[in-house]
Amino acid sequence: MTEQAALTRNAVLEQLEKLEKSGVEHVPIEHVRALVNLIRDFFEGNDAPATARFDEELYGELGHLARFINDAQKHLSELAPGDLQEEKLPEASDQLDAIVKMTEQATGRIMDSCEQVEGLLTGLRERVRESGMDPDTLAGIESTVDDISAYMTGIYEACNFQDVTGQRIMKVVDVMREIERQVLRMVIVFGLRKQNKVDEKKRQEITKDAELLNGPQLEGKGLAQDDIDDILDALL
Amino acid sequence: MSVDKNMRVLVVDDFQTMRRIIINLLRQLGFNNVTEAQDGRAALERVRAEKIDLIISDWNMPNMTGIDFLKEVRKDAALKGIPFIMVTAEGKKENVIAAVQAGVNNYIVKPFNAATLKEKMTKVIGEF
Repeated sequence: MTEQAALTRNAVLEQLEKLEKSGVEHVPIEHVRALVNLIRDFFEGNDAPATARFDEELYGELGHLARFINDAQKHLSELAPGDLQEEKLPEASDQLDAIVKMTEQATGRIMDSCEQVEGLLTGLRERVRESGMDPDTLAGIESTVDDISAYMTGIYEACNFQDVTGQRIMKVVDVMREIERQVLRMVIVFGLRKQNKVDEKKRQEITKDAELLNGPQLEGKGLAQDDIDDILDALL
Repeated sequence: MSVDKNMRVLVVDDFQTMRRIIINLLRQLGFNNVTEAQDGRAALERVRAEKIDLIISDWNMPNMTGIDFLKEVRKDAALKGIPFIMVTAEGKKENVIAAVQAGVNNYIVKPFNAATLKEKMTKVIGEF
């Protein structure tokens, strides 16, 4: 703001303050006229050359800004955010969803088989006990059955992975859906429509990308059971 | 006094696979009297409908989370004495503290094994 404009503005504010403090219900017309004149001076600017310079600088800055937005729009357009939002991100999310579903199904099948084996082991144990075989042979068979049962426990323990990886992948899917929403906003704001259909090569790239998203190795980031036990010992 | 392995255990988890894993591990440990629920709300209905001796619950579930379920159990005079073990992937210190403040008896972080489950159950219900 120029010095003259600042002086005019201060004069306007001063007049307004006077009017407010005067407490009169009806403001004399000459006071209103004086105020209007001051405001007009402020907007029209009695210091025309300075205002012109100010306007020139402002227009210059606005020009820079417009070119920057234009360049950004061009670069964003080259990135094909429409494809990203409409095809790549949803497809990557779907791939991750599919991984969760497939591992869940596979784990279910492993558990089905384990339960079948356990049923057979229980039956076998009963039959050998009722068979009247010699104690040493019976003990040997029971020991083997116990070993198999311990291995079954190991399989159940290992099946934990499905729940943990599933939860991690769903977190990644949530993040991707948020990115998708943000890209959609960008597409709308910048008017960046979809550039072209994703060709087969790009589709393969998407699949490759999705396959890479197997979840980061997070060991050491959360607490281990020992750390949790320490906290529990201190709190319980 | 030894633990009655016929005690009624409620396993709560929204992942059916996880419920099966815990139920099978419990069976391996000799606990066959097990019932299950898929979230905190269903679990709360279950504990109000039948006598439950031990609850093993996940934290992160739809409808009602494990921590909210725990708080409801501890608020209810008829249920507040039921031992409660949280089994969860939430492995942050603030989660453990929140669970303890809500009245949890022990806390297992996923993935876990049968030995950890046995050790925690022993701490909560006694030797078996």
